[in-house]
Amino acid sequence: MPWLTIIIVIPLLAALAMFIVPEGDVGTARLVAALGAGLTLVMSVLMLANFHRDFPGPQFVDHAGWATQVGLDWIVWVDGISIWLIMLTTGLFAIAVAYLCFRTPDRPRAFLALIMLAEMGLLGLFSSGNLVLFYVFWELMLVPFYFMIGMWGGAGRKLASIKFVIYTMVGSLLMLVSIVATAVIAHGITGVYTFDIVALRNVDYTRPESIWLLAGFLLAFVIKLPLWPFHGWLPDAYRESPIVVVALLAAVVSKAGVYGLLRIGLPLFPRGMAYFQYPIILLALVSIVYGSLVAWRQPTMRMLVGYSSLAHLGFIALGIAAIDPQAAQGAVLQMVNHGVVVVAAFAIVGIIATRTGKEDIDDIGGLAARAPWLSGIFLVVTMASLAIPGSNSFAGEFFILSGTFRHDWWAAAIAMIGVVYASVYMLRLYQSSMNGPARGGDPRRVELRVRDVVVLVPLIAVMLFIALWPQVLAGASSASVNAAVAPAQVAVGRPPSEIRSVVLPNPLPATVSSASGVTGGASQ
Amino acid sequence: MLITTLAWIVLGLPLAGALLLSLWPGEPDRNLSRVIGVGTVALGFVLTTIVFFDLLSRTPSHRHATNALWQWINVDGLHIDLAVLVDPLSVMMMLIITGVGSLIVWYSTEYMAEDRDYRRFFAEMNFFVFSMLLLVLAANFFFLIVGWAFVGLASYLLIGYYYEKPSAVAAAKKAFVINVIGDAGLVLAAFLIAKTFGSLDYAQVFATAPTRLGGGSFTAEMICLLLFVGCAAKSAQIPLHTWLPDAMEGPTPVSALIHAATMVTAGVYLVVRCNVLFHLAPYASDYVAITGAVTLLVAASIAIVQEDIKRVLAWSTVSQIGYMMVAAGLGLYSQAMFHLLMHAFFKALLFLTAGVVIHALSGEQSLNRMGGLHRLLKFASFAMLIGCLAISGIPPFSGFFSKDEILSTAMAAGPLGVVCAVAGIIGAAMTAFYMFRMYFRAFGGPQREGGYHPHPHMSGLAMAIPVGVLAVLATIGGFLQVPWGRQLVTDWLAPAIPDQSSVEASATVEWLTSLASVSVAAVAIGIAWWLFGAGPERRLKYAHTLAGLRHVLLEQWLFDDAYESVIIQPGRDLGDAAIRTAEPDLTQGIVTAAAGFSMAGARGLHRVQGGLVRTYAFALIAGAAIVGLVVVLAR
Amino acid sequence: MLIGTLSTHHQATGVPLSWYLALSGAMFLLGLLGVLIRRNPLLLLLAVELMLNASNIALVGFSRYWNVSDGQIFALVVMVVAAAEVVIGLGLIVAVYRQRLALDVDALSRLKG
Repeated sequence: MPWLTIIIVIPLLAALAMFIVPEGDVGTARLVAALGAGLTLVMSVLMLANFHRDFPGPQFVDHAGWATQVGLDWIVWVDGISIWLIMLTTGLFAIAVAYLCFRTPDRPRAFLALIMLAEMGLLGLFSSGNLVLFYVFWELMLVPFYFMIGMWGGAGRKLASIKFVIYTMVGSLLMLVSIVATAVIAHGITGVYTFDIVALRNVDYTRPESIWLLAGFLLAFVIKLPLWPFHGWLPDAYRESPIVVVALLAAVVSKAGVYGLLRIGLPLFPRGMAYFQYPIILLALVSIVYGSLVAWRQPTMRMLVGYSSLAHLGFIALGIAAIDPQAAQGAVLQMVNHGVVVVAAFAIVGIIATRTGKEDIDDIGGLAARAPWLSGIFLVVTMASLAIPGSNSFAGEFFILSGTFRHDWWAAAIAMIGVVYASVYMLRLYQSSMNGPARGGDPRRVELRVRDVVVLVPLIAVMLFIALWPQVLAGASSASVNAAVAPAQVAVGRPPSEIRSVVLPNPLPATVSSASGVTGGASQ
Repeated sequence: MLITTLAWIVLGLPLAGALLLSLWPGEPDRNLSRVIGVGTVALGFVLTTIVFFDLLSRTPSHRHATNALWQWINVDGLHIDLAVLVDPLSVMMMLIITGVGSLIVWYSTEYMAEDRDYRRFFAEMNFFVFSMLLLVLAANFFFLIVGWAFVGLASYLLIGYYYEKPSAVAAAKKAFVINVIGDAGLVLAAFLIAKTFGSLDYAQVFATAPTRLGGGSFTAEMICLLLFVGCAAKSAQIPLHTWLPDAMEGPTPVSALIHAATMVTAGVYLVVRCNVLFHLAPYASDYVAITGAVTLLVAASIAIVQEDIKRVLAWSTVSQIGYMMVAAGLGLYSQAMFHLLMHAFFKALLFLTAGVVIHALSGEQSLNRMGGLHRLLKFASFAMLIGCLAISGIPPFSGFFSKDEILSTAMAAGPLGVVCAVAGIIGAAMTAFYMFRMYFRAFGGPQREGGYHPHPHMSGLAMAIPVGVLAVLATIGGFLQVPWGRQLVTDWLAPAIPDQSSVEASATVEWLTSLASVSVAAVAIGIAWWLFGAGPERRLKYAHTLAGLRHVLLEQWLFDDAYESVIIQPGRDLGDAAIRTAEPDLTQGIVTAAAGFSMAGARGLHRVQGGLVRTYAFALIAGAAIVGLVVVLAR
Repeated sequence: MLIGTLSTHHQATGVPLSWYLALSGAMFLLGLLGVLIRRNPLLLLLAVELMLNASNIALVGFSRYWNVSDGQIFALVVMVVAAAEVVIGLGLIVAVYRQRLALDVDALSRLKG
């Protein structure tokens, strides 16, 4: 069964189906979107249930020849890293659609169709098995976001959308150059012309080649993440976008950059990563401290959470740049955690902002008195966001920093500044909105309703589950993480960690034209 | 097996209570809140006594058991279980937490009776008890940190219990942030431990530490110093002590349980728990002792000028924990634990009695508006007197035995020990002075001007009985361990503390130290009586002597101002500066540069697009011709 | 089918390749000149058509010379494309005419950069 192709196509079909929904028929539009997002989620859960935990390589490979002579194929698969990003995407988009079903935007058909398209783009990105597909989906997902920001955003939406798209596109232009160069140089070394990510892992680029090829990718990744100082698109995009779009940008789209580092940077260009290791660590540390300080001083709730994301993504980037399996494992864990937590945070910000009509932190206060449930859930989200030990985020941050500490203790120590400041700015957000004298209108209206609960409770449930038992995620991803980090470990002169390998047929012979390999992990 | 199961149940009960109370739909009946809130903790105490007697029936070397619920994570060789460790040390802490805890929670059923958020209070109290139990029961550093942070969260919630009050909200935030600084230290220590030992389990770390680190190694010192950052933050030791006095914004039972009896002593617990590591780190241990000595003096000096009855007690807590840190730093771990236990009794007693007074005066906390309460609140006066005598180290009350044991053994523990002991004796005098200053100003002398309206009312049984029980314990508790007699606490803890210092004070030193500390305390009480026992006239006469020193003490040695101007404000300024300059100039500058680059390119190229199709066609053909020419010529 | 059976060897008797190419080149140049100097879009389209057919002749000629049928298939594809192009082009011209604009490509330059 071509699991991944189906998962990618369902949202596309849902988006296309919006064309035949009559204009003004909001109910059907909601239904179509809910069906699309729901089915995708169900399919991905079923796929996860069949996932083979211990196998480090690609699973659920869907392969169809297209222009095989020039190395272009439809090839999608997942491994222990991308399966969690697929789950994150399907889960969070389902929640985003649920949020939108209760708060219908203007022109709901178009908006929901764009949301579905964005989901398709991200799913394709996280499952693409060759660089060209990766590039296509990378750019494809920009399109729906361009329209969503530009047509549904706030007053400065035009500038924000153009800035977002142009800036991220500038980064990815060089990526295209690098992709072509990667294949051409690989052709020179191995004699096979391919864009296949698995095949390219075995190519032994010289150090300068590795550095220059990676450099092209890196700009795209750090802009998408973003890392300081490449977050120029972030303030406008976060300020002007609809809150759903902001949440998805922070939770899922930003992961594309991290995923690129993990999927392409580390395994394909280990020498390049060794070269850029300390520059990335440096940028990550600056992002952590800078993001925290700026978040602390933001006037609005949404920008505070937005800049906190900059800091959190700094942690994740640090985990990858540390070139340590423990840190990389923490980064994978943290990608999921951050996605879940930041969506919950933005959902709460959205609820407060729509009910009180205010976004400035100083205009809101004392909501806890009449909205105890909101206050309680907000407290959980706040604590998860500042990564209090025992929360899901702490599990991720702990291993990121623990792995970093093994080789670069100073980096972990500096990152701790960010941990402390996280408590400062998150408590500022929580306390000034929930505690103190009542401000900002009738607090009773702010209390959670069913429409909020359906969004928040699943997120809280996921947070609690990961907090209590992160081994579920870690166990299923450690083999792939170790495999991804091992080449770079060698490149920086450390012994590679042992890769738990399970004897499964190599699913990707160099020239296959029909689907083969591990198509259902458990069935092998 | 039985005892670990019981430990899990003891741990789970308050968590279940907290969840039940906070998730209960609607507003639960007050009796229900009461039953759940007190019941879970009291039941926990009963079960803990079973665990205690089970351990007692074993031979000392078998008094420990671990049990893992599930494998929490296993990442690249670092294996962490959700596991508990039951040993004499954790059981002793469990007894304190659930025992003193259930008394205090019971007390709060009456103290908080007027509060509209009754169930939230008990939910948060139960959450605290759960977190504290997790802290002491954890079998590895990871879950220690989790419990450590959760008690910080519980403390945050309860300090900010009256969340409409801006001062309470600010105090809660301060407590939380300073504790996060401590957590950061602890987490870094955990990283270093994980890097060095490849494990975070107590058992494995402590078993291999002596061989792997060796005495006095740099790694051992660093681990202990980083651990102590966490301890200092949690136990309010200098320089991370400033949050505890502000934490008195919380309800009084909270101050009694969290900010006196249990949570703030967690730092001492951790040093004792890691005695193997601290034994390997002499310099770090010295630092612990020095910090304790400095803290006990500074805190005692500040307590002398406080006007708020709870703040006096808060500073005395800081000071008493200083004594424990001195002991722990000098390797006198069981003495530190003994003082911790006694302190739990008498400090809980003092706070609860202060609560009785505050309750009786409808929320009045200032000593300036008290006086002559002895005749109105006989029971409270009596209980407070016991507490004051105990903390001042007057025999035969509990504080005498524990404090004296620390001081006299310290005398025998090298030069640093002597210095610390002298500091301790000076501290003892100050302690006696400020405690009796508080006592005489509240209970002695004439009634305050204008009398009390409404008339102070005595509390009911739910408040009186816990106070009574604690008064009894504070009176006789010290006989657990008497000089040259039975050393029950030391013997009990011996299996958990392999590196207990073996120094013994000689009889002469012991007598001399006792004599010195008791006599200076007695003199201090006398001065306090002379100065404060009468009306306010006499103390007001002397209020302006040493005005400079008094100002420094009132400003609490200017720690808060220093932090505000050296750390917090620069942080704000840096953030603002980043928003003002780096954001528009640097990050937007890069965007503008990228945009400008493409704009310039577009401007250059747009001239070619004249709109004449034939021009385009000509350019196309010319281009093709040139390419063709090149191909032909290049052959 | 018919063409494929005419010859099995590229040196078979018949019209030599150079004749095809000469015809093709001449037609192409004629078309090119038309594109470059004409201003009426209808004639422009005609000229483009001429160029396409010139290339078709070349394709067929080469196909016969090398005795492989790829070129003929390709010529068929070109015809289809040309037909599609004419449809769109004529549609555009009619649309322009309806707007009462002059049928002069030099005047239709609103899209210039």
